[in-house]
Amino acid sequence: MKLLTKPHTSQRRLIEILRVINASEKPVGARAISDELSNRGYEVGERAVRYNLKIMDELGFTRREGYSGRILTPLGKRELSDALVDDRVGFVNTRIEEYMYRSSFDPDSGEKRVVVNTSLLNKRDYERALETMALVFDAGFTVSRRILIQDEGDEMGPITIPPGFLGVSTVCSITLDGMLLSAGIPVNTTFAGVVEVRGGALCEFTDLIAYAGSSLDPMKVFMSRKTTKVSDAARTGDGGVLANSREIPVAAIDQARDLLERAKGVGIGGLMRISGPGEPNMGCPVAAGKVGIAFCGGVNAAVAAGEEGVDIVTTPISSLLEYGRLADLR
Amino acid sequence: MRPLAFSLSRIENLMHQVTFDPLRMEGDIITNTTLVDLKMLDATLRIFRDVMESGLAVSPYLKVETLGSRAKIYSACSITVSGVLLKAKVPVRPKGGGVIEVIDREPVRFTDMLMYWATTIDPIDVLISQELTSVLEMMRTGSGRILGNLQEAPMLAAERIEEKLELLAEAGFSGVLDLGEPNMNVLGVSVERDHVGLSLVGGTNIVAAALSHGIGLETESISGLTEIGEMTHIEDLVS
Repeated sequence: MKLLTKPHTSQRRLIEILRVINASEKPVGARAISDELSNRGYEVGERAVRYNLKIMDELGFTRREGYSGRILTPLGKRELSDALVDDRVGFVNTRIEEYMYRSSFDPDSGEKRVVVNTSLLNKRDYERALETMALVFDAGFTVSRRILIQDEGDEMGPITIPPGFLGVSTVCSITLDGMLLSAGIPVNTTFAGVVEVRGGALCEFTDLIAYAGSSLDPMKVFMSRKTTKVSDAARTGDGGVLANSREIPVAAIDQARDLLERAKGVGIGGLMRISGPGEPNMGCPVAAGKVGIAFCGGVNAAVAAGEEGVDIVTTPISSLLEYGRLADLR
Repeated sequence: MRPLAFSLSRIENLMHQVTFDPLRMEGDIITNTTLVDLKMLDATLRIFRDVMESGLAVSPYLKVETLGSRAKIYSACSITVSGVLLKAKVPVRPKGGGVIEVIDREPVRFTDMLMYWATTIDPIDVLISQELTSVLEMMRTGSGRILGNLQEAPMLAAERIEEKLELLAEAGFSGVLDLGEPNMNVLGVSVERDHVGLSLVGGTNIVAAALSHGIGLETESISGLTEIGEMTHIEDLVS
C-alpha cells in the first residue's frame, strides 16, 4: 500500500480534493472541483486539479466514472478517515458549529429547523423500541419527545432507509445551542459524558471526553462503550445517561434562561443543569467568567432501546428537519 | 463515588511515583492490569510472549496473581519510560494516546488520537473498545494498526533522553517508535516550538492481541505501580 508522502501543505490540498469528491453526490470533474476548492480557500486551477487527480488515480484513491468525472474508491474513503490526524482532533466541534449555524430554531416564530440524530431500527423490534423510548421521553432524559418515523425506501438525511428497517429521527441538543447562537450568545460545546442519575435526577458526570481533544466523536465513543444505563434510569430512577456540556459568558445567562424556558414551552428542553459562574457543572470543568449548561443527549432514547437488545444503529448530529414534521410520541 | 480525574493528572501522579532504576533493576514501574479466567491464562501468556517478541510491548516482565477463578496480570505501561525521564529531570509532557499505522514494520502515522487532558477514560482503553487496531495482522504481515502514545520534551533535553532510552533498552524496556527531530512532526502530529516528540508503543498492545484472538479479558491501563523485583520474565512464565 502506498501513502501520500508530499509535504504537509500539498498533502492538505490533496486531502481537500478527496473531501470535495466525497461531499459530492455524483461523480465530479476537475472544473467543479477547482471551483469548490476556491470556495474553501484553496486556489488550485483546473489543470493542477487534473494533475493531482492523476496522482490519486495512481495511488488508488480515486477512479474515473463516466465522462471525466471522479469518485472515491474504498481506499480513498479510508485515506480520508486516516490522514492528517492533527486536523481531525477536535473535528466534531467544527461539525457542531456548522449545524448550529444552519439550524434555525426560534421558539416564538414559525421558523423551526432542528438538528436531528438519526437511527436505523429493525422493524421486528418496532414495538419494544418505541415502548422503551417513550419511557425515556417521560423521564426527561432527551431534548424533546417529538420524533419522526419513516419507512423503508424513504430518504433520511443522506441515506435511504434499507428494507426491513425504519428510520427514527430524534431532536439533537445542538438545536438549543443554535437557538442561543441566534440570540447573539457565543456557545462553546466543551464535553460529552455520562451523568449518574439518582432518584430520577441528574447528579454527577462519571466520565468525560472533551470535543476539542479527540479525533473520534466523544458521543459515539460513549455509545459504543456501552457504559450507559439509560433504560435503568428511566425505569427505576437510578442509572447513567449521556449528556453534554457547553459554556456561555456569564453576561448572557439571564437571556439564555429565558430562551430555554420558552423552548420548553414548545417541547424542546428536557432535564438540564446550569452551573454557577466558573463553577464545575456536575463535576465538568467550566472556565472562569463562563456558565456551564448541561443538556441530556438527544440520542438517549435510542441508546436505551439498544441496551434492551433492540437492533438499532444511531448517528448523532446527522441532519436538519422541519420541526413541524416531528410528532409527539405518546 | 470516585472523583472525576482526567488522564493527564492520573498519569502525572504515577510518573511522580516511579522509582525504577534500570541499571540496578529495582524500584517501582507503572503497570496495566488485565483480568483473565485461570483456564485461559496459559493461552493468554503465549500471545503476550508473541507480541513481546515482535517488539510491540514495553517490557517482557509480568506479575501474575490468582484471584479466585481469575488471574490478575500486571504488565509494564509505557508511561514508565516518561517516569524515568522525569526522574532524570526531563520535563516530559504526555500528550495523548492513539492508533498508529505501521507499513512494512515502519510506523508511519497516527490515524486516531485522544489527548490526555481531554478524557477521564484512558485513551488506550477508549481506542481498544473502538476496535480500530489490528495487532495480529501487524505481527503476521508487518503492516497493521497498533496502540501507542506521544510525549513532548524541550529539544534541549534530547541528548539526555537518548541516553536514558538506551539505558532502558538495555534493561529490557524498549518500544520507542519514533524520537523526532527538534520541531518536526512525529508520526504526523505536530509538536510545540523548540520541543521534540517521542512516540512509544502502548503496553496494552498485548491485550489488544489477546482480545482479537477471542480471549475474553478485562483490562485497565495505567492502573498502578509494581516493584520490578516482584515481576518475572515472560520466558519463565511460559513453558
